Amino acid sequence: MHELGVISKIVESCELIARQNGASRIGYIKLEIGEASGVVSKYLKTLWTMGTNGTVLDGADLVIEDIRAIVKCNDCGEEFSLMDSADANHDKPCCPKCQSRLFTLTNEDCKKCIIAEVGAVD
Amino acid sequence: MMDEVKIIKLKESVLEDNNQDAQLLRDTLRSQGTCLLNLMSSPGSGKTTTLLALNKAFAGRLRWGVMEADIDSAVDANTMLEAGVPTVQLHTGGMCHLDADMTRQGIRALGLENAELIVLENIGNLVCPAEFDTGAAINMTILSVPEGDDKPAKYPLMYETCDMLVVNKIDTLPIFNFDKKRMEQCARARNPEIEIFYISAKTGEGVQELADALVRKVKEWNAK
Repeated sequence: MHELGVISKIVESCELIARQNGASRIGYIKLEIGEASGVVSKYLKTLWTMGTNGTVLDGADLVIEDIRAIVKCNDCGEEFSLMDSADANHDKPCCPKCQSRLFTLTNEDCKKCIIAEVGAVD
Repeated sequence: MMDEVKIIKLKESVLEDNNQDAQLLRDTLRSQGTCLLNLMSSPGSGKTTTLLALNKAFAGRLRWGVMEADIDSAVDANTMLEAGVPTVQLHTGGMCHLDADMTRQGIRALGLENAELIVLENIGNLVCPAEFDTGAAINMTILSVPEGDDKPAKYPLMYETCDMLVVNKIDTLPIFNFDKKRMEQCARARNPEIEIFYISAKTGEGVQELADALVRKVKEWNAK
């Protein structure tokens, strides 16, 4: 829902990175987008060209790595993908083994949107 | 010839600067003795009605003000002003949440000196507001009975983020299939420390307990 805002934050960061490295533009950027971050890769890609137009990221290749949200069942300890379970159970995720709806996220990174790597061009 | 590309490895969280800015705002407010409460919920859960009910129940014990954040209109702010609560209307112009800097600007616009409590009534939305730290000392969410007991399962981050969960419209419990136990289990699975209150802002049931708890929390925060 706020992908354009996320893009403008990425642009801000990249303008700074480019300045710090004496680069005139960014050739490519790799983002890690967590499945529980609320940032939808598809929308981000759709808005990318508009949001980066005229900035150091203009024309940069965008590489997105999705970080899976893996949860652990509080009742039986089974680990499973939150999104796969949500898809399979009409948006009400539950443990595939014991059907419990109580589970805990195992990786904090899946809540984040991270700039993992940029390629700066002189 | 291709330009030389310098690869820079980072691990920079895109929202990190907002997190730092929010901490800065929280520290400033603490030094001023002001407790900021970020109130979040879906549209129509009764945020404004709850604030009106709380105003009565505070019975002048707190010097407080409200920032109403909406995409547009001043309906909520007018309602609060009519009740005599200092209020400012913030327009996000289409944005789905408030961040720390927008909150800071709102506090400035409210201009309430020596406020003990400022309530930020966030945009009605269970997704985005939970992702942006506003600098609040207390995060509170309202879940109204007609929305269903599965909200904590569907919007986990909102319940992870909140210190207080207010279940509103409990006067409608007899009409809806709302399983309190299941809702509490799911909310506590997301956040074991979450404090749960049951109220009806309309009938006033449970409002006094919530108001007393808030007064206590605000005084505690401001005494630190």
